[in-house]
Amino acid sequence: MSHELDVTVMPACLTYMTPARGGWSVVRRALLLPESYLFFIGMPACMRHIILSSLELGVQDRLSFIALNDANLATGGYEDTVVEEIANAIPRLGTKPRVVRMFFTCMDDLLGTDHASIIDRLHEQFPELIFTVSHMNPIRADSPVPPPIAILCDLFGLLEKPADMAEPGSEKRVNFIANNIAVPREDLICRWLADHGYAVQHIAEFKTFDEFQRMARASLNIVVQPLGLRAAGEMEKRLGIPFRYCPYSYAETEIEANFKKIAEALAIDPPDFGEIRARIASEAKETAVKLAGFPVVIDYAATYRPFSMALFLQRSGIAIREIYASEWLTSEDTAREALLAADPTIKIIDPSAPARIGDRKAVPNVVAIGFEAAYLTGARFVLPYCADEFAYGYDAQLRLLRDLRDAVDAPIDLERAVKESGYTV
Amino acid sequence: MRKSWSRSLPPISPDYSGACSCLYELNPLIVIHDAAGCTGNYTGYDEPRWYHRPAPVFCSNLRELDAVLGRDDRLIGGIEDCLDTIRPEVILICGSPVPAVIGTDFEGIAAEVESKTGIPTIGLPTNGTHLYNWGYARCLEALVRRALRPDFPNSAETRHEEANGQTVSLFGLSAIDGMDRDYTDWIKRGLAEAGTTDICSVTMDCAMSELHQIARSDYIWVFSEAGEGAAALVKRRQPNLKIFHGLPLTDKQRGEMIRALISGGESAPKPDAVPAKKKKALIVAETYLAGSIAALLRDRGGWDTETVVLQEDLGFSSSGRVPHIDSEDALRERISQSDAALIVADPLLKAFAPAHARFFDWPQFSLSSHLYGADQRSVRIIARQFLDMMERID
Repeated sequence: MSHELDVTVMPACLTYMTPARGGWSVVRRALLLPESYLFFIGMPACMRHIILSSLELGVQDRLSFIALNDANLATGGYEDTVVEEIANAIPRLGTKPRVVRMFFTCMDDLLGTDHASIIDRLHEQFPELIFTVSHMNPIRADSPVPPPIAILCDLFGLLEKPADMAEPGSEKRVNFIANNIAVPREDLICRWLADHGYAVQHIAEFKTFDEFQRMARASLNIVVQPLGLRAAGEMEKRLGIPFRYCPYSYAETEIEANFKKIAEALAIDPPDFGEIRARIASEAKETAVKLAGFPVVIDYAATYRPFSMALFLQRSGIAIREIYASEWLTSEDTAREALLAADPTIKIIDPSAPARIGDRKAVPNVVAIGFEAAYLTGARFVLPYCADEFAYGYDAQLRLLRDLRDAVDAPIDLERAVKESGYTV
Repeated sequence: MRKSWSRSLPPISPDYSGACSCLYELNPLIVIHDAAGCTGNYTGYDEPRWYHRPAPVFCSNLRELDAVLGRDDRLIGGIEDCLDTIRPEVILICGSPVPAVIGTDFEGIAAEVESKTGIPTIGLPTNGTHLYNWGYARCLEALVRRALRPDFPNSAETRHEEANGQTVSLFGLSAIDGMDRDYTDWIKRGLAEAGTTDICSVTMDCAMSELHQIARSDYIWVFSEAGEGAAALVKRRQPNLKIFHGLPLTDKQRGEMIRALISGGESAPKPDAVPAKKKKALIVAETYLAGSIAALLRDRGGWDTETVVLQEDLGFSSSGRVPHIDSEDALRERISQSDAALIVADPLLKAFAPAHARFFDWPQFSLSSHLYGADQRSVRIIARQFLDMMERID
């Protein structure tokens, strides 16, 4: 499945980060694990955006940091510092965690830290707690296991195989993997699975670490983002849970193929798409009328499928002006070619290119899907999407159309929205 | 805030943020040699001008193999490629923790970039363990050293004009410390009203082409501790130079400081002691800001002040510096044990304050970033709100 992660990358030298750049940080993903406490370990500078974003998100009680300095790095004494500080800190935490996760920053990759020894020493003092090591190391962004993939492997690596587990297929549970926000329960996919007796599970919905362990009892993992493929592969080997890659999509053929893959895996019939297809057709017309004179721009932080999304909107009669993307999945190439064939004036722009620094526009009446596209075009009408996580399948098409109609009625203060979003680089 | 476990406070803005902030308005090309997070720190939380007035600040996209193999050529090549679209007057290349671990030679890289591009280039070994005031200070010193060189553009004009009028250079104007262009304009207006129009504001609302004026300064006015080292450099070259220290917050303070500066004093005159029942105020702020807040309280009479400084000690003594506190536990203890009736500090420190003390929120961008609006209000505006509050309670 590794080709699912293949990307086309725009030529780059240095990177510009617009003030609207950001998404779900490693911290925010890590906090999806219930009853866990996070210690970030590294130079103090690395911790500033972590702590400030945790204050913005109101999760500051679930994490803190241990600042290393030149002296304990030079002497190698930082491993002792980490053990001592964490051991001193644990009794002072307001709520006792079940899992203590240590996050090391980029420079740890070059230090040869003995993480196993740190875990052993802490476990001796706190045998009732689980200690784990993870990394917040964008320095490995171009490796086979960059931080967003590693963090999912670390999270789901905490699932233990139940001793009394029956054959995986006999469990009437299905997990969604790799999305940070659960698919809305009213979406067709959840209703369809529930109608067939399957409980839908997502990590964000568990309140305790024990409840989270229910994810180890599932018939199927549905991987909705490419970042989750490695974690799902590991779960298949370790827990025996098979997986299907059924990504968020805006293309009819892919949406229905995804449902078919799930139906086959669970040996159930696919749903009837007739009603929702009819509603989409009707709302597409309504949206095209309302958005006449409002061109749309899309950025790749809003969706992993910018070209599929644009193609769907274009075929619905909505004008697409620009796509902002520094890279995209190669599986998007077909949609990209179809989009440009239908309208060669559409521009594909790299938002990270240094030239963007002086390139902020004020496009009249533009509607932006994603904050970065909004910033670069001066859009007042904005859909604050991040990584497709607003709806699944045909429901995503429907929700997108409705949100576009709503957006043109409600201009936003972009600066405030960006700062309140909690999205970080 | 630099040592061991910190439970609730963010670290103070780091060294590379101070360095970037120093050159931000000089039509620069700034490169932070890091993977992404450090640049995100600066642009997301340490640069109040970033949203509305972005400057060319870029991340070098440092990757593990670059670090292991020492591929400095990728960084240099990236800068050269950028020059197709960016036309900077000065280049800054600064470091982050990973380059510090592998011992990147920033001065050497800067020299190579300058020789290839012909653009003045500063390389700074910032590493994320120092604080923003250290980074700002080192960057300003590097800039001033360059401006004092005989081959600095317009320096011939400088020599020609040397006999004309009085020149004031403003050092240490720092956006992270709550000084913005409006604040700078207000200072310039005050000086102009006092008859001085030849002003070089160096790091705020200034151009590289104006920096030759530093070499013929008659006075340097230092607004934060981070400007003191650079002022001392100029003084070494021009022994007759007069250096004045102070951060005015009100029209009255500005007037007093300008009169003191022109008369050759080194800081604002202290008001006569007012014999009265003294109440105590604890001020947590950058050392110059704390001094000016203390002066506002002294002016009102009846207040003694104590200062807590979180910024790194830069080794200067002219501001009557107190040792800085660098751990959250020590800061918590210092504030919670205080018998002060009034505490003036960033809102993030309110949780440490004892119940008996009145707490005035003085948001400081170097600590709480934009969380409490420090990016929207200069020190002058917050000072006005502070005095309004004092009117109500005194």
